[in-house]
Amino acid sequence: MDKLFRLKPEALSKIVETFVDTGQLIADWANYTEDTGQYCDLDLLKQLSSRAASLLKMEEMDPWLAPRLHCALRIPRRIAVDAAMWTWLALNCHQFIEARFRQPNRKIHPWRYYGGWSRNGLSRLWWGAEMTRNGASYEDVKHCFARTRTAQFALELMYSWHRPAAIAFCRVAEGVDGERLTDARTRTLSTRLRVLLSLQCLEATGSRTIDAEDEFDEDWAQHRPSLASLMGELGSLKGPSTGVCEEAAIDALAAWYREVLAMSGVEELAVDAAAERTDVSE
Amino acid sequence: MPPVRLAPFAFSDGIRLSLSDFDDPVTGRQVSAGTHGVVRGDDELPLTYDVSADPPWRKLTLGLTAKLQETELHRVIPPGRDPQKDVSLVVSIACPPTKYRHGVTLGAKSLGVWAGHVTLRREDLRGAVSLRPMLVLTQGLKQFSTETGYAHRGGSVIGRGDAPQLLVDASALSPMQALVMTVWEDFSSSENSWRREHSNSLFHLEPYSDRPRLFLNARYSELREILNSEAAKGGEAAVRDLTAGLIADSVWVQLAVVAASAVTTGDGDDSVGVTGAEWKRQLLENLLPGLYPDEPSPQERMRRLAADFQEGTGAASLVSRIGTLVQDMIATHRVIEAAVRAHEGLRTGTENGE
Repeated sequence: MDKLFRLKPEALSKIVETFVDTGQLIADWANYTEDTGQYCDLDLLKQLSSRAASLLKMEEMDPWLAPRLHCALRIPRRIAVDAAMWTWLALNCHQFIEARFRQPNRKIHPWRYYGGWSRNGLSRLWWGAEMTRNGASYEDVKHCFARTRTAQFALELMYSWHRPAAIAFCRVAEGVDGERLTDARTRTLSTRLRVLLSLQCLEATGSRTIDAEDEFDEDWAQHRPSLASLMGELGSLKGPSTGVCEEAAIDALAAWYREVLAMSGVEELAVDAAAERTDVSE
Repeated sequence: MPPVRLAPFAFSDGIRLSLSDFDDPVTGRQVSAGTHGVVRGDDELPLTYDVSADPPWRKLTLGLTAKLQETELHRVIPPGRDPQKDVSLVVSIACPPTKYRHGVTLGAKSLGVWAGHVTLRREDLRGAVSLRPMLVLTQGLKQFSTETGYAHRGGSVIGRGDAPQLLVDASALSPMQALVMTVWEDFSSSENSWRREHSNSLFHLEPYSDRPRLFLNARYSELREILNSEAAKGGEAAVRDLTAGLIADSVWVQLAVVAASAVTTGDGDDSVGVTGAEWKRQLLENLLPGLYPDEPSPQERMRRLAADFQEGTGAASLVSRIGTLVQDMIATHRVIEAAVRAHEGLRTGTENGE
């Protein structure tokens, strides 16, 4: 295992911006790193990410790499909040960052290396997998990363922190057991939920038991997966045993989301009003 | 005066949650929890429980007790329902940096009193953890009446309270929170004549006592709403951070000037010191290296500060530099950058810059 490093905060901008501008890491960049006290299999992470970069189409990269990155990098959330650590990892796995975020005639935005958790090209995948895994199963992570917008609205708001709510959001947005939502409808659902959740207890919706549980699985974190095991089917990946959601809670939340989508809202009222004005003028 | 929540059914903001009995179940030792409070009316409520002290705990078990006045409980519960069986008290525990969010149900001890405990693991947390108490109608939509004016859907929140914070890492506490006590007051009815005469002001700092007090004008209920917003990003977060930055900028400059004015030099010797409250010395210790970066000696920095403060052009330059340091301290540029991004997101309908 290798030491997991982070970039020193004072060197972060300089190193990343030089890299984005020139494609070259400054020669002594290792001098600007510091130990996080954690370990990782850096070669495994590099191999996984480079395979995603070289073997997959751009739209296939996120749903494939997210669960595998999470399964390979077995760190607690307390460590995963460290943006400077993700910068170090993203620079080490730059082949993936470039393949995933490169746009014609434009440089990659530096936040894909030093941005917050939802901007960094790797951390967004790790966090998305952590937030939408169901215990050891990563099956719902593929729904989360099926579209950028689904990941955005499923992960970036406060309801997203409640795992059954994030999973239910992904399933509804991606049309599991129903119609797949457009980006606009996904946004509408997210907006309405933010309003309604001031008067609805997410934790109590559909759950038989409400109790705070651990997220970090210490035993799981001590095992090291092989590249071959991570290259297998999604269903064969085994995540942490913690964070198991009741299916009843996910179903209840998904049903409620569909009710929320079916409500007539200001958008529809505005359309109706416009139609009325048209009728009058005609 | 507390803000009034507009809800489509009977609702109470009066739940009070307190935390107690902190211990580490791994080692079996007690964990000390210092508190930082906030003043509401005549009461000081613990707002932050500081459990960041060394040695670090691996797991933390704590007791939770929630209370709601019986009259309030009866007011918000649908008629004919059992106030002990048909509602539950849920505490939503959230840690924004780690996105940890779980609920815990407290058991009813007597009418309007619920208690329980929770165990948290250090690896799941970073910074501060908030614990929001909510009174919730139990599941079972059909069993509740649909009488107008009352919640009827299972899972509806019919009561809330302020969310105390657990401070897991000391660095998460903003310097202002640590130094300044916040008081909400309607300035138009203040006992303080200055505030009464300036009842349109947003805030007023009293930097006089052992601990400075920041009065926020409760007349602007939206101010409280926005400052308490838990939005992680977007327009709401941008407005909150801009508002907080506006207040913090002024407060820090005032505190720094007051602290600088407390530096005294001895008559006829080289002694230099800070008179009055301890916070002034602490604040200067943090500010002085930035004000005099070329001066390695803390005592000499203090002397130069005293000299600058007493001399006309020196004082002007000093206040100017304090203004710059405060901007760095509260990261004004980041707040503005985030606000611009939020604006662009709203304008273009995207939020992640793709």
